[in-house]
Amino acid sequence: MSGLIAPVARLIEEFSKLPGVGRKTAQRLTYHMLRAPADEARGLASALVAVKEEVAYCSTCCNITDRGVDPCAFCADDRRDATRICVVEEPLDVLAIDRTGEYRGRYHVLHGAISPIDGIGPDQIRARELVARVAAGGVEEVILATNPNLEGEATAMYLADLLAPHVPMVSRIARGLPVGGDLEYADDVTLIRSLQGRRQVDLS
Amino acid sequence: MRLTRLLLEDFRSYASAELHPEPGLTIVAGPNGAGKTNLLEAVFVAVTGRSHRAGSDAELVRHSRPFARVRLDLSDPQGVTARVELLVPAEDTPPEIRKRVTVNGLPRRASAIGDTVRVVLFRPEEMLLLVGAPSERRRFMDAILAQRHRAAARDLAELSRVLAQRNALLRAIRREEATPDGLSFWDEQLAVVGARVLAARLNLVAELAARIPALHDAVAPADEQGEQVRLSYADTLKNAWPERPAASGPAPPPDELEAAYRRRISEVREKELWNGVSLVGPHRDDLRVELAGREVATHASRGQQRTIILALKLAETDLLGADDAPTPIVLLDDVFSELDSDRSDRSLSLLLERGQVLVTMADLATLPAGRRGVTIWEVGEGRLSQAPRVA
Repeated sequence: MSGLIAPVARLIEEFSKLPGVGRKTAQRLTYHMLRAPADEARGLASALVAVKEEVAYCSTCCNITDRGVDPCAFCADDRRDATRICVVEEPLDVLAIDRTGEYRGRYHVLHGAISPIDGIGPDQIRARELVARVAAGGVEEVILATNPNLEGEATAMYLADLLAPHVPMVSRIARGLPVGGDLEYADDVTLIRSLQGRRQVDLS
Repeated sequence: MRLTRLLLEDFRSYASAELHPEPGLTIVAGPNGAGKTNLLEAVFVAVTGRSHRAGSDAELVRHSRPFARVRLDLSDPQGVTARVELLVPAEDTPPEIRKRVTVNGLPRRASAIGDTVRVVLFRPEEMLLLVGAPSERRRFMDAILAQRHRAAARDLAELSRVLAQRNALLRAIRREEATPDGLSFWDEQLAVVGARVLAARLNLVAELAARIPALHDAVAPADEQGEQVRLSYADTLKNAWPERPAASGPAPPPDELEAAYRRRISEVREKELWNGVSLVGPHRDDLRVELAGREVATHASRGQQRTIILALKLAETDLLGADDAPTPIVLLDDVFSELDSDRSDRSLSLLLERGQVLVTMADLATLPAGRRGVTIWEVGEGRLSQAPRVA
């Protein structure tokens, strides 16, 4: 970049590769780091390196785990129901579902969803690992909790086909109205989906 | 609804601009490149949520400014007023500033603005509507659908997403980087969403066809009166849709069209895998126009074609304002330079009968005769005159 000394230009370049960071934001971040104490820069640098060097993937569920901790804490926890596997796209989704306290089974992290535009097919996500794990037996239900968008649905359909021969039940998380929401403010698609996914009133 | 005030801030070439359109005809005059079209574009973007010519929203923002703002003050004959405001961030604007449209200060989806105000844009390129590529005619149909029905706008967006994914997968299969078994999901999506778009277009063509003869005769010079204009919709389903009606009419139930797409998609499987592109779907369709039983693109004179195009734009105006919808604001982007004074005058009269018309022109001599005394705003070097003059 013209008029900038090399280290500054390089840092701007690196920052602007990050998702959601444009050139101006990258410049702002760079000048912030210039003004910040050296400790802060070192702290950031070592955190960045650590995230690559100290994070590993669980050989069972493919979720991220501390290096040397395999299987991960979720898979090693015997109190968790091993007969159910909840399949999600990203590690953050595991935290979201687990926070609810409603689900106490195991997880499987795909690290993405099928999206031909982005060159992501079944081989680019951790689908094969999931099928092998389910085919090994002992699983009663696989819950497909990929995102309710086109790519998430494509992934769910693909996995459902592959998993069906190996497990008694493959389920898909429900779609519909948000809790505490107002019917009249819901968009058409959400309303249609919630009508399609209606259930008999449980009188018990 | 009619526009009482247009306010721009850092939009394209304008640092700021304010225009007070007349209830009927308003002219914006100035040399080419002065920024006349930018004014019409601003109205169009505020109403439809997207530009007809910008590749990205950021292009709409004046150089090195954080965002552009467009405000429309509207009122209807009953005295109801509304204010539509659009905010478009520049490329590097912090993420806190997002693109948004508000109506009377409340955030709205772009697709909901059609409840408040609608707009018809007549671009000079549309003079080639009948001889140009089918994509131009699909764009003509889809622009009407998207403004009229929220559901159609969503279906069109979803269709283009499905097609992009499906084509990427077909190409990957051709390169042997993927296997064909992943196609079934996208086939089904294409059949379902494609059937919805096809149904919407079939209904639209039926409505256009019903209106065209009268509008054609209203615009046509004496020697073209009574010529038979016939509109039909050309789909890609071939024999996979045996129930297809002979003449344009209301669309059949969606499951009939979905089934037809499923059949046709499986028929062309080999060809699609070889070509690496989706060969069946609404993205390959066309609006066919015939004059006295012959293809207009090849058999009609330039004058006859222009008459039909004007009739189509009038039909668009009527359809957008039908069913208690707000009467559209008509934006004519330098189209009179392409028309003889006869057709210009008749079509302008017909549009003014319907509502408000904003016209840009580089050469005031193309202003149809009998329009003296209209209000003219001058544009030059990215600035709009402070007040209009009457010519």
